[in-house]
Amino acid sequence: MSIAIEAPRKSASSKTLSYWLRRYPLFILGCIGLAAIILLALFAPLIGTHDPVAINPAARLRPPSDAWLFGSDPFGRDVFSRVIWGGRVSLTVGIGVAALSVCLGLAIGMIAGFNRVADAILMRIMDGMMAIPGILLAVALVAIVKPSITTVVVAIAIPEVPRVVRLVRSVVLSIREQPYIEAARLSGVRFPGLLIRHVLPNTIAPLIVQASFVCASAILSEAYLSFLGLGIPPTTPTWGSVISEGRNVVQLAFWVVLYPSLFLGATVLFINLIGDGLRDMLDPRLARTL
Amino acid sequence: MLAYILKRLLATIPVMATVAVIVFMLLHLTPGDPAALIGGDLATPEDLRRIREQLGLERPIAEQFLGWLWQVLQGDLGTSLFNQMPVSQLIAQRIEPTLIIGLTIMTFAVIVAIPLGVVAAWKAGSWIDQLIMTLAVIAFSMPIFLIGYLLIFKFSVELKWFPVRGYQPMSAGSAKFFPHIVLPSLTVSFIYIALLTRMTRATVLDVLNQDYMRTARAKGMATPRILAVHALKNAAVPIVTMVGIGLSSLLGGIVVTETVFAIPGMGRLMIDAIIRRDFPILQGVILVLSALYVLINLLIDLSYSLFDPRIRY
Repeated sequence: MSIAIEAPRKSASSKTLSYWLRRYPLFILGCIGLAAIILLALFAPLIGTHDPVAINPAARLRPPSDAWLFGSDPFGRDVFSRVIWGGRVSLTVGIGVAALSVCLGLAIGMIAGFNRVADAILMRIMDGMMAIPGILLAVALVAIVKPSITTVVVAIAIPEVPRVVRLVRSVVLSIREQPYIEAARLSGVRFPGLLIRHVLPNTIAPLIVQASFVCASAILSEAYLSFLGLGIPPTTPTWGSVISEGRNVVQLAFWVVLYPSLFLGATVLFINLIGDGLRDMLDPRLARTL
Repeated sequence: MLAYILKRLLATIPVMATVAVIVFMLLHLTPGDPAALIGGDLATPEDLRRIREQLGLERPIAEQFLGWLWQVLQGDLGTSLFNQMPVSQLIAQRIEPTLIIGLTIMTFAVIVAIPLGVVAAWKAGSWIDQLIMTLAVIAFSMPIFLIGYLLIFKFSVELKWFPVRGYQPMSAGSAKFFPHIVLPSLTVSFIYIALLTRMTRATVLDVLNQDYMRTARAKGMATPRILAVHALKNAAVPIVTMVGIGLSSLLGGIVVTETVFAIPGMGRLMIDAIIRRDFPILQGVILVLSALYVLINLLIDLSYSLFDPRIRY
């Protein structure tokens, strides 16, 4: 009888770039694309060709040209510069919502996973929140408070929380009965330490994947809010507000709607590709079947 | 069966109660005076008094909630602050387009997405799987207005097949009604199809790895029959569950689409209400759409026994 011995696998760090390109081409595409969008937004003051908020009635609805890369909007503002500046808002909202909803969801999910009474109450509240379509709840929340980036982040994050809670709770429930948790308990690890040292690390991989999808959908939600004329004050250029201003002239000047939509779609796509890639890497059960 | 239906019906009560509390609290969570929020910057003390009186804002909050809940249970969603019409009547006038477009999208998406997802799972790893999944992630990421305006450009402006915007009720006859719902339905369908295709693929893939699939293959069963009889039947319950859960993003999508295509549905009603700070309408629309979501998910739960004979109530 012979025993097959598996060849020692190379560690992740020694894998070459070409390995990553072959194994996860879409993930790499997502990373490069998102990096480009982030750089454009970071260096908006240097890259933008015009003042993004300067109104110039003489230059209304100019078609795209060398002077106006993406044309101009109904107020004579440069669409290219507004799109570049708008990226700042979208990325801030995306990251802010992902961070806030993951933190809240993690805290609530851990409590629900470990305390039966709290679980019954919290999960009923979460079920109720899930029954309200997310964008409607966000619209309503934005409508009742003074519009600003912070309120938009909070309003979009709240409907996302129940999904994170369910994820964290299911992970906690599945590892709560594991022998090593029992062992830690018996060896005298106190409760907060038990959660942080032994439970929290198990939730990190699925949470990173979830956070990327939350980030992508938050960027879309912010654009929908701005498009509907709610949320971030109209003085700040955002992709949604640029599109909203082009809405009534779409048949005359498609560029006002087209370019910000393309940037928005591309950004969301890049983040979703990163999320899919992370899921395949971190979830060996799914990765095996691919 | 009857006992199960009753049990499931009872289980929707806490969910709807939570929705009711959230919807009611919306107005009262606002920092400051709700009457001032509704009245806006130009409200006179007289206006504020009238708003307080109409909404009963002077009473204790628990009393307000119970009074409001009692009215809602009787089908009274309050009165619009703007034109003094009953909210339930306003919603009844606007629910047709939202409901019809929603049902069209659901039907169309299920017909398209399930075969796509099954093929992707069956050919997992092949070029056809990669093509379907790449298209799905692209469709899933596209903003509704990009899809909507591209469709308007191609099919309304260039080809002139469909109207650019607007809506004609069913009562106007199918020749007028039908062209108006094609593009809005198609717009949201892309996103919903992408979502369902991804879910179908993941579920069918799980089923394909089961032992009985190998048995079916080993006994020489033809592949289409394996997929239809064994794979899809066993994947049906998780797939229909996803149809229900995805409904939340579908309803959200319709709200945005109604603005793109200028359709006088529930979404437009709500957005116009917000601009006029007409809170009873806002609360009514959210309550009705959430109830719709809960109701359809209840029907889906009850339908499980149709798909899986092991589930008997």
